Order: sequence, then C-alpha cells, then structure tokens
Amino acid sequence: MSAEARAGTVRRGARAVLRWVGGAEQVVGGLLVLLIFVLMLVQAGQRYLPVGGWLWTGELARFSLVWLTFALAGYLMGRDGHISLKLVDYAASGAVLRGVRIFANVVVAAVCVGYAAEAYELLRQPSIQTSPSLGIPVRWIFAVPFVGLSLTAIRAVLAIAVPRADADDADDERSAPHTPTSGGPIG
Amino acid sequence: MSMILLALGIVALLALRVPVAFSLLGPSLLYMLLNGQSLGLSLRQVTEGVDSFPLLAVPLFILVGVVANRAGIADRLFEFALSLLGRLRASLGYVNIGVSLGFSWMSGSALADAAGLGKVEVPAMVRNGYPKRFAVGVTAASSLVGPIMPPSIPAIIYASIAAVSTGALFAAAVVPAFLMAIGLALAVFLWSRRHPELKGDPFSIRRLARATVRVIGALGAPVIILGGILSGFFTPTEAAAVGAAYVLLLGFGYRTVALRDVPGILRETAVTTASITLIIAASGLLGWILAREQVPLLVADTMFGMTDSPLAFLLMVNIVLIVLGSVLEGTSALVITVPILLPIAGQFGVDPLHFGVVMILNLMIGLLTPPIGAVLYVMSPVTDLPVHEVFRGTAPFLVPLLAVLAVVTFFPQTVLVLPGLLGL
Amino acid sequence: ATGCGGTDDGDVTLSFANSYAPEHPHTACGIEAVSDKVADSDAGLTVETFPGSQLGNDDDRFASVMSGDVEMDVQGSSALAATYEPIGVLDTAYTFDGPDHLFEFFDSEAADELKSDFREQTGTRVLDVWYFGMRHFSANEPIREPADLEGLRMRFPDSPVYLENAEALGAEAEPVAFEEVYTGLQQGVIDGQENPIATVAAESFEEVQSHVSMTGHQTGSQLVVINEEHWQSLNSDQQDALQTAVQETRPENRQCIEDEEDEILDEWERTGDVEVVEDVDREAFQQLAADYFGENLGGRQHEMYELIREQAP
Ligand code: NA
Ligand code: NA
Repeated sequence: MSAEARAGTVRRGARAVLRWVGGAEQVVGGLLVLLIFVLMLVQAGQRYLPVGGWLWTGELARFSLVWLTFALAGYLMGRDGHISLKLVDYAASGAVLRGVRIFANVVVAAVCVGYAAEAYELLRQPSIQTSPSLGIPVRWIFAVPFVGLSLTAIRAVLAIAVPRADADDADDERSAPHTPTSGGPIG
Repeated sequence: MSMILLALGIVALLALRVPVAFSLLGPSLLYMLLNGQSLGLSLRQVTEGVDSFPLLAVPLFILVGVVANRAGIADRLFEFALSLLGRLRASLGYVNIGVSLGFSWMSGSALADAAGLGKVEVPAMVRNGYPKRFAVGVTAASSLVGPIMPPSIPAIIYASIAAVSTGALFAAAVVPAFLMAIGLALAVFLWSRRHPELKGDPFSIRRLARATVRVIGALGAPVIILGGILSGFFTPTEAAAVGAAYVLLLGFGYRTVALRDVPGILRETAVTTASITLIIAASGLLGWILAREQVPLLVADTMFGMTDSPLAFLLMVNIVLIVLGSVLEGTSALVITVPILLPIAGQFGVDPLHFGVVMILNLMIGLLTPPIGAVLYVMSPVTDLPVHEVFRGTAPFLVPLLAVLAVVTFFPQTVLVLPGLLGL
Repeated sequence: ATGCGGTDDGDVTLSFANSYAPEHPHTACGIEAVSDKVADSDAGLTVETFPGSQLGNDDDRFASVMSGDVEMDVQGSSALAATYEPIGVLDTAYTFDGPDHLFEFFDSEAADELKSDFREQTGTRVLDVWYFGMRHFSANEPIREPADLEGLRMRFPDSPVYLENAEALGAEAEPVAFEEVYTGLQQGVIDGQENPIATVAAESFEEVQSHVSMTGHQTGSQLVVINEEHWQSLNSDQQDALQTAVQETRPENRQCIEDEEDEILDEWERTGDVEVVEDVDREAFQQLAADYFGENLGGRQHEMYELIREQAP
C-alpha cells in the first residue's frame, strides 16, 4: 500500500470514529438540554401543585449545565465551532497560517490535558463532600468534564496529525461565513 | 506569575487563533500550578463558573429563540408590521425595525435575529427599490434590540455574575430597548426625506385585521415570559422553560415545527449553549485569580486616583468597553470585566442595574464595529455583500445607537424608572 | 498555596475568606477584626481577607479549605453538613436558646468531641463559633403561632438542614435563590422568608413585607475553620495569636450584630416600614421542633441534640 493510500485509510477510519463520537456528543448534549427544560418545567409546576419543596430539580439542572458545557467541547473543537478571534486568517496565509493553526491546536491539546489531569485527580481523591439535595458525592460531577476534555484534546491532536479528519460532508458544504469570530451567538 | 504576564499570555493566545475559552483557561492553569495551588482546584473553579441557577436561563432562552426562528414567527411579524406601517414613506425601514422589536421579545441574541430576519427582510427591501446598503444597515442595527429587550442572554450572564435579580435587570432594559427602536426609526425618517420615490402602500384595515389574527399567538410569548416574571408567577429560569414550551406549541400549531424537528432543535440549542458556557466557566477561574491577587482593589484605587465623579467613571468605562468590545466578543468581554468593574461602580454609587444596562448596551454596539463585529460578518454571506460594504451601510446607524448609549449612561432614570414603578 | 508561603524571617500569610458583603458584621467586626488583631500581635503572621464569596461559594470554599488552597473560612454548619453530617445539628430549629447557650456549649467538653471528629473527617479545625443573629420569619401577616404558617409559601435556604427546620415548624418551604428573594417576595412568588434582622435590612425585605415576627427559631451561628495542616505548620506564637484573635473577636462580633439589630429595630419602629411582632407563642413552635427532632434525628445527631438540650439554661 502506498503511503498516500495508507494516509487515506487512516483518514477514513478516523472520520468514521469521530463521526460516531460527534454524534454521541450531540445526543448527550441534546438530552441534557431536554433534561434542563423538563426539570425547570417541573419546578415551575410544583409551585402551583400540592407537591413541593423539591430541591433536587434545581440541583440536577445545575449539574446538567456543567455537563453540557464540557460534553460538547470536543464536538465544537472538531468543527472549529468554539468562539475564537480569527483575525489572523486575514493577516496571514499559506505556511504562516498553517503554522498558527497548528500552534493553536497544540495549545488546546495541552490545556485540555492539563484540565483532564485535574478532573482525574478530583475523581480519584476520596472526597467526602456530597451535594446538598441529591446527596451524590461531589467528585462524580467531574466525570463528564474528564471525558469531554479528553475528547477535546484528541480532536486537537487529530486536527494536526490528520487534517480534516473531523470534517463530515455537511461541514465540507457548509460555506462557513469567513468571520474573524466564530460562534458568538450571545450578541 | 504576575498579572501582567497572565494578561499578556491571554492576549497572545487570543491573537493566535486559540479559542477564547482556552485562551483564558491555559494561562490561568499555568498561574495556579506555578503558585502551588493543589491539583483540582482550577477545575473546581471552572465548573463553579457555570454551576449557577440563574445561568440555567441561558440554554432555555436560546431554546426559545431557536424554536421561534423555526416556527416562522418573523414572517407573521413582518406581515403585521407591514399592514400597520406600510403607508409611510420608506415604510420597509420602519417595518424592519418593528419586526426586530417584535422578535426581540422571543430572542435573547442579535446574531440569530440578524441571520434569521436578514434573509427575509433584505431581499424584500431590495425588490421594492431600497438601496441594498441601507437595507443591510437597518437590519444589522435593529438586530441589536434583541439582546437588550428581555429576554436577554447577556443580561442573564451579567445578573449571574453581579448577583442581581435577573427579573429586575430585564425590567431595567425595556425602556432603553424602546429608545433604541425610536432612535433607529428617527434615522430612517431623516433618510426617507431624501427618498421621496419610496412611496408607501394604501392602508387596508382588512389586511391589518388579517395580519393581527395571524400574529396574535406570538404575542403570548412576551406575556408568558416577561409577564410571568414581573407578575411573580415564575422565576426567570422557570419563565424561560414555560416560554420555550409555549413557542414550541405555537410552532406545532402553525405546522412549521414537527415532532421530528425536536431533536435538531435540542441539538442546535446544546451546541450554541456550550460555546457560550465554556467561556463563562473559564472566567470562573480567572475571576478567582483576580480576586486572589486583589486586582479589583488595585483597579479601584487607580480609578479613584483619577476621579471621584460617577459620571466621569461611567464615561471612562464606556470608552474602555467600546475599545474592548470592538476587539473582543461580547460574552468574554462581559465575564472578564464585570467582576473587576462592578465593585468599583458600587463605590462610585452607580446602581448595579444601571451599570449592567450600560455595559451590555455598550458591548452589543461592538457587534457592529470592525474589526470583529460579529453581526457584520453574519450579514455578509446572508446578503452577498462584502463585510466593508455591510459596515458602510451600518455605520450611519451607529449615530442613534451611540446617542441612546449616552442617554442611558447619563440619565439613570431611563433604566431605573420601570424597575422602580414595578417596585423591583 | 499563594497565601501561605514562609519567607526568610518566618513570616506567614493566611487567606481568610467569607461569603458576606464588606459592610456585614462578619466582615467588618469579623474577619477584618481578626486580621487587625493578628497584625498587632507581631507574631510574624499576616491574615489577608477575602469577603463577598470572592473565592467561591460556601461549598466550594470549604473544599478549598480542605485542600489547603484557602487557609481559613467562616462557614455555617448547615453547609458543613454536606461534608460531615452530624455538625448540621447546630443549625436545627430551637436547638439552642440563644447566643449564650451556643457559646456555653461550644466551650464545653461535649463540643470537644464534635470538633475532634470533625477535624478527623475533614482535615480542618474549628477555631471558634461566631453568632450570626436569631432567625425570624417575615411575611405580609403576623406569624404568632404555628397555625399562622398554614398556606404560606416560606422561602428557606436550599440545604437539607433548613428544609428539616421548615418541616419541623410546619412551614411550606419554597427554595428560591438568595438573589431572587426580594423580587420573589415583591411579586408574590413566595409569601415570606426567614433570616436574621441584619439580613432582612441589608436586603431591604422590609420594603416588601409587612410583618417581622420574632420567632427566633434558630440561633444563627458560623464556624471559623482553618486547614489543619496549615494550623500545624504555624509556630506556637502564631497559633496563640490566631486563636486569641478569633476568640476575642467572638464577643465583639456578637456586640456588633446586636447593636446593628437594635439600630434596625429602632429605625423600623420610627419609620413604620414594617411591624415587628413580639408576642409570638415561641413555646408552641419550640414544642413542635422538639417533638420533630426528638423523633427524626438519628445516631450522632440525636446524641448531640440531647446533649445540647440538656445544657439549655
Ligand atoms: Na430579547
Ligand atoms: Na430588523
């Protein structure tokens, strides 16, 4: 097999895996939004119903928001969807721009590895703190960040090693508006 | 590691295309490790940044906006505004502002508004003989009403960091949002005097009646959301959930949203939310470091060294934020500056609600200014105009918006009157 | 950690955090007072203060004290109960009869065991207890007896101990985030709330409530905690200086709180903003709480509860 063919196989394989992972991340994210939505409806409803005083709805919803934040970090990384300033895309081109992109991916990978280590440490430590309402050990909360950060680090490394491994057909077609900020839906 | 190095590290990473969240997270982690903080503390502060009850309204109001966009409510608002205002000269300019005003009750962000409404409004205006640059400009500028009028994503973020009531901040922004709409309408009026060729249509009461019937369901959303909060039926977070349920049912009723669309809606909401909340999370750690290093005290001393007038302070803040808002995207600018500036504002006797509206309005104007004004870049592909042309169209509308900012800054009553009337 | 670095001349800096605003007695007459006293003692010890939850919310700050990233903190027992459950009993309704009872218990042998168990479990030492003020109900009607709570949605802080208190007193608890309490009361999402007088005034709840009923159903207390390893790393002069400063602050801090409460109550009487209801049937509430906790507390908490009640004057 030629080197080129081998690279193609690797890319296809990586694509298949990443597409599956990305799909799973989106499903988890969507379910967490649904959970927050339902929990808050329940909380609004219980005020007007004879049941009441459920604290765990708010607590679980807050944890869901934490999980949502990290669960989709990798997916966003894969499609260059994190909010970032892309001014350099205008200032530089060719090898310089490629160099900057590689550097940015290296930074993201390193940062994610650092925080994944933090998450691992928090999961490992025998902490006795429990959440006030659900009574679950507080350290469990860091399981999702651990997975999310690890997947983000992998995406960043793959973006360097196997460029465009993460792009799916929709992304290829997506005539992403070439903006110096991406995302930024807050506006 | 000094605060200067920390700041330089963040700026360098931002410039080198590292996503905002990771530009904040990287140097912060390095600081923590170099200062011998225990492993795990950094991530605890990061998760604490989003572990907040008020912030739960962020995904829920994004959900409201996503559903409202898909439900085709903008089209109905457009018909309604046209049937009401169509007889005026340059009517589509006013209609454009009116649609944004109507949609702003269901949407907490400008970009969704600019992209969603731009696709409908700009072609309609061009077809009717309006210069494209004007059409793009008024669409871009009026999209800013969305994040000011409640519900507002930046208001939720500010309220969460500043520990003020989200409901009170929502109420505080209503008058400024209307002032923006009035200011923009005034700009359209002045422009229209030089364009007598843009005649209006004759008014038809039947048409208005028909359009009113078609739009009436959409009016339920602000009644539920803002009415629910201000009348005490719901907390803002609950109101967001109930509002989302209502708009979803509306979409089902209009047959523009089907059950099979729901997974896609949830997915879009999740992705949009995560891109914002990761930045808020990162700022949780940065805020901890700044507090640990007593940076707010330091900045306060510097500020008090320069002036003791609240107005001068607000003026300085406005200048700093306009510069910051033109090079940094809104969420990041908000989450970084609020913990530093808010305590100082308190010492100057500036009301936290007033300060919040000033900050948010200011940073939203940054969405219209180069080099990174995000609304400009969203409008560009939607309208097939290069970014600099979009800006040329938008620039005249910065005048009324900056005028509103000045009014809101120097007349706190514009902000505080409604919360005051409501007793908030 | 940043705050705790020995320098050549043996000087040590400790960070001392709390969740209260700079104007609150627990800041002004609390952590700041300790910092000043320690500075005056010339023991080579500096205490840096971080009020207003700058270093995180209660749970998070206590985790930081356990990990040693923040050296000292002021914490309520209901929050600490998330780590060491038995200590939550200190915040249960009508367990203490007031600050004298609270302090007496804390200085007694009975408390030593609780403190040492707590230290073992959490790796943090309780230096002393500070008084936070008696908690009372506010609503738009007087609450003189348990029956008056019927049908009222009362806001309680969202922690299990406080919800137990609601249950014990026969109140319908409505958990609302602290920042939303004012709006919630104003708009009628909730009918009432319970807090010490100083908190009611600081948050201007009297603007949106007609009555404050002096149930005094909980003796509010706050524990001053320090990371045990950092404590052990101090020399005996430094330990003395710190322990003395915290202990000397206790009565002064209480005085501050009581002075402020008197001032507020006078002000309310003068302006008539809110009616203070003194003729509360405390015994009826007390009986309810005693019955409830006598039956529902288990194990170590029950033991502590009995011990504390035995010491009641
Ligand atoms: Na809005
Ligand atoms: Na518009």
